[in-house]
Amino acid sequence: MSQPPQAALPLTFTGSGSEYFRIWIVNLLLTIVTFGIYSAWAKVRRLKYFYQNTRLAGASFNYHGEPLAIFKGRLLALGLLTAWTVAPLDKIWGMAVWIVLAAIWPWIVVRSMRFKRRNSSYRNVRFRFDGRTRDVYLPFALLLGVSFIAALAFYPGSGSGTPGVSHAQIAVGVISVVLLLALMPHFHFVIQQFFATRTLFGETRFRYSARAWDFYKIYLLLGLVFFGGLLALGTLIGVGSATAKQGGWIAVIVLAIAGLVFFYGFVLFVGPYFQVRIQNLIWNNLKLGGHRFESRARVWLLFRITLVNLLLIALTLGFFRPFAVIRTLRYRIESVSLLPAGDLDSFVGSSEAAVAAFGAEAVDLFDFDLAL
Amino acid sequence: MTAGPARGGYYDGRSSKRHEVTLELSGSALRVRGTGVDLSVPLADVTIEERAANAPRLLHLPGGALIESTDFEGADALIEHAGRRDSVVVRLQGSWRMALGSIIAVACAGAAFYIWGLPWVADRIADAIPPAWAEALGQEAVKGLKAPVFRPSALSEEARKAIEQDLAAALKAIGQPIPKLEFRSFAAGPNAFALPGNTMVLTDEMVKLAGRTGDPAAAILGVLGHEHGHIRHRHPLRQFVRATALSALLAWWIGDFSTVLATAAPVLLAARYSRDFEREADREAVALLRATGRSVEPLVELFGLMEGRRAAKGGDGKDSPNAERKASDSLDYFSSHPGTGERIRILRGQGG
Repeated sequence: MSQPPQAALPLTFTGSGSEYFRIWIVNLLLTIVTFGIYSAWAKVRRLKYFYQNTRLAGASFNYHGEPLAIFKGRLLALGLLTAWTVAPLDKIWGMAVWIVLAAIWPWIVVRSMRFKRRNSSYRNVRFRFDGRTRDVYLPFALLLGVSFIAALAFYPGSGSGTPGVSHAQIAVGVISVVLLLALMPHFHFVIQQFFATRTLFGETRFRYSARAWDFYKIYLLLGLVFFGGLLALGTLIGVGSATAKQGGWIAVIVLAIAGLVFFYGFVLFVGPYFQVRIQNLIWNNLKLGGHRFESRARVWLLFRITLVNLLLIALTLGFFRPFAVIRTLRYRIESVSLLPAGDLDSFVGSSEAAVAAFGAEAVDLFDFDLAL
Repeated sequence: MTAGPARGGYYDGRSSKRHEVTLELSGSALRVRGTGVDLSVPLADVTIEERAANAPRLLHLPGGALIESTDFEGADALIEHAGRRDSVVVRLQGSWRMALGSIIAVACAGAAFYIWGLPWVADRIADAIPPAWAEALGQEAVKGLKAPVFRPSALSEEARKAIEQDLAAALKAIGQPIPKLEFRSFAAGPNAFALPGNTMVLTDEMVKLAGRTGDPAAAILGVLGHEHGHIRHRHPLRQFVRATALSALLAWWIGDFSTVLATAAPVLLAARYSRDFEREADREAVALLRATGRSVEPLVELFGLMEGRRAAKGGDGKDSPNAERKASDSLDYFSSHPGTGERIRILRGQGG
């Protein structure tokens, strides 16, 4: 623990659930009434609310996305999503859609990042993103290629005419899945490094020092939790089936419940786990000029917030969602502080032309989110 | 007209430096004064952002400078003096009464969309899907009918031929195309179902159960007439599109928890659609039986036998048929078939 020359400056979030609920419900109503057209304007209002309520050292952030640009981006992205949705219905068509999407996906991700960064500001200075598609084409091609081979190997009926799946097919499938699992943390590392080091605040570039091994540790620990839980469950079933012979159906029910709790518990655990560990890893390795950052989010706290959110969302048939969003956002934002090396006055702003919103909308519609 | 002063921070847009300033209105101009800043800007050129309760008030000046103020009282008074009103949307967002109205409106819109909107949209989409694609989907499903759940049919060649010919003759009589018929043995018992495209599946166990009715051939024809009704009205494809659209919609509504919550809900909600389809298919079965001069009673008898099996599986040992009927009807809301009582009423009401 080093001593920062000045006190840490925490990020604070001043949004409230009840306020955001009213923004959300009005947005929803207007979106329904306009058959979805308003959703682009709704998105700007929502993000402006989140950004403007996030404060650091007495100043707030702001979002500058143009609703009309977002609307156009959504139309294009919707076309892409439709093509993707109907793709499985026809083999040739599906393959064509898959190849086109895979080919332009790195470009879409880069465009998305440019739009997001360029439309964010703090103290009237815009953020920027100057990454280029060709910088990440290779890792993307590798990842998509391997998942394509894995999907193809397990695709029923691709083993021309022979019933069942051949041994060669199984071997290729297993190898590609193992390769995919082994590559995933590295890919995650590469893409986060790309996002961080290609981001600028005005003319000042962010620096980033996380290593690939840090990502492997996060993934390995999750694997350990999963297999540890599986082992415990297996032991329970072993003991249970021995007692079941005397205990009858009560033991069976208890075992079934234990299995369900483990399965759903793990599914619910994965999200908060990754959010917290990746957020901490990124922020704790980030530098801007001489300033450093610190993120002290904790997995168990976010897990608890997520469980309560889930329960209340289910009980309110979904109407708790805006409150849930604010609860999660507040925790994640307020876990982060800036460790200043001096005042925050000397960043120089820059000017950059507007960026089209297509990439950002495509990424949002396909629900693909790698960054915080 | 004067108002102020309000306190705030001035950022020129060229650097991140904050200048403490005071804001005042004088006439039709905004005065901005502080260390190193002394400006007078025509009010008409100032863009004021929509406000949210706890977020700073933001004023954009011509030339790209920004004033950020958390002196809410002072800044709001100044904005009001400047004659700027909140937009309609901001006023809607500020009012709890409007929020309550919005909740009711959203709930009604959701219910209406579930009952009328989604089936309509899904059917238009299903209509747009080329028949060849539906056929391909059905063929994929046929490939999935294998061990350990499904096994090749044990019925004799003649028995299968007889069933096929009976169906072909009946469909010819009402001028309908003849579908492909697949025979399988099914571990879970008597069943028959239609697949997307032009294929229906009949299980050995259903044929065996029909053998216990007064007229097995008529009972089987009734079952196949029902499945033909599904194929004629493209029910499997329409149900597929509806269920897919429903789960997409629910995943969006529920948000991040799609994996956990959104698996159970669409199954329950989609059951409603499939019950409407079952009723339509029952009416087709009646029409087919009538057109060929057969009675619906063997089919009614078969439904009774299936209901008996289901009750026996429930295993509470009660034999009263009324209790059984009540139980099956009360589960109606979440079951994918209408209650047996209702189905028999449909059959007899039309065919009797």
